[in-house]
Amino acid sequence: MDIIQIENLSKKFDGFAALNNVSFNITRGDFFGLIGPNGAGKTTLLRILYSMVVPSSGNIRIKGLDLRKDYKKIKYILGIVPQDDNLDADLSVLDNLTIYSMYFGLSKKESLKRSEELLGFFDLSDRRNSKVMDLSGGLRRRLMIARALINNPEIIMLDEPTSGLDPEYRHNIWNKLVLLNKEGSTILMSTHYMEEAERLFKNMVILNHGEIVVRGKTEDITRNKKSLEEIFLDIARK
Amino acid sequence: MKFIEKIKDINHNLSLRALAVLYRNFLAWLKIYKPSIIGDVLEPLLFLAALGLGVGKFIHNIDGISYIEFIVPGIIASSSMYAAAFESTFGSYTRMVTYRTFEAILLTPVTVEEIVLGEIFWGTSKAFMSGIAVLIVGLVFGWIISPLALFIPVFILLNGAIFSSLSLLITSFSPSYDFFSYYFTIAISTMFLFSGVFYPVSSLPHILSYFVFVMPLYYSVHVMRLLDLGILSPAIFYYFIILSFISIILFYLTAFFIRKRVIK
Repeated sequence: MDIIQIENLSKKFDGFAALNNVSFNITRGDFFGLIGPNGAGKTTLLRILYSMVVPSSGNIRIKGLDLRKDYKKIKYILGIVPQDDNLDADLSVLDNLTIYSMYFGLSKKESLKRSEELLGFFDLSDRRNSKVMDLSGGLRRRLMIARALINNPEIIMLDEPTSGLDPEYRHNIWNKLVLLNKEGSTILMSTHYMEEAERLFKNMVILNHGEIVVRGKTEDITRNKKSLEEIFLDIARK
Repeated sequence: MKFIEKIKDINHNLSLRALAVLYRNFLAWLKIYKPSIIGDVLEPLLFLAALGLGVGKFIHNIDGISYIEFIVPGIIASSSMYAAAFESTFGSYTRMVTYRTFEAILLTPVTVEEIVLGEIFWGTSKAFMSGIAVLIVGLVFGWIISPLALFIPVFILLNGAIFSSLSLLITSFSPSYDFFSYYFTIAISTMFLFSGVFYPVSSLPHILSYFVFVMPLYYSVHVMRLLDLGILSPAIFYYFIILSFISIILFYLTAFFIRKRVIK
């Protein structure tokens, strides 16, 4: 079943077309990738999906619900990791999670239980009382992902979650994401690391200048041609 | 009719989830409450002491009461204005732009309108703390005249809500922190000096007194002084209605413009 359906989606910012007539579907349980050069429209697409940007035209259905009308309901099943760090710098690691759970309406008991689970899962338990400002970049990123999972989301959306991280942290995050996907979460993620894309994504679209230029299964895309990196470079040079 | 639709949209997006935003701000405040209390509570008390006791020495009475008794209701109103204005400009701007807290909250089912309401609740809470502190000091030192003054907190809340909404509205247009200088100089300082906090507005040149009537702080000062003096006038009721009306209008305007600012 298609859990996300995107139909003829376009977005113009002051006349500039950030997305142009983009359509594709994502099936439940997929690990779906968005790749493309900088400025291709990946972030705009994700921001539309989590209702921070209003599309100029097109339709989106998530779990059968119309995003335009039911965006509040949809938010309950999404876990979102945006590109920029927006952790609550005024609060501790644990408070970041518990406060976030209040936004979803979790009870205090549920909230503490879920927060502790997530701190354990992301190896942050011993930092629970640290200030967010005192965490390294890698730990902050893990906390961002932990925070996005507070509501047990069915769909996890991540915008370049590993950019700027050292290989150890990157592998650590990959492992967690693969595990979450195996447990049934649908994942939609953007990246510009081709190695990461080949390793993680089951299906993907490659965007350039706001349009889909390649789509399909990762193994089909890379089968007869060169590596994903070469395909990417060919596209980016156009 | 489009206007009515907009109001309906805003109402549709409101719920008690706004209290989570209020609680978030309270929790963050608990970590820095000491410096915050200096600004919101100690500063108005300094004004009260310096002007009330210092200048008051030369003014034997004003409308039949001592100078410090005269300025207590004014300082209650102006300190709550300042507390709300600081919180809903510098504080809210930091959460909206610098720390991207609004954006983080918007990744959850909380709506822009609920964030706005939560922010206004918070600005109003800061105003309440500040105004109540002055009222308590006034009570302790015997500078409060009538028991009707116990109704002043209702108007501290209203005054806080108005200045918190107005300030957040300014924040929705603000490109940077520097922009707030205009607001604080042109609007806030002017109201502080010309709304009858330190002298009856009737002593101003006639032409200036017209400007006084467009300043929300004038109404708050006036109604708090009526209560303090124990004058049970119908004006108190009218002011309650007017001030409530202003705060509701400001809320809708602010909700509209903050949404415009954060959702592209």
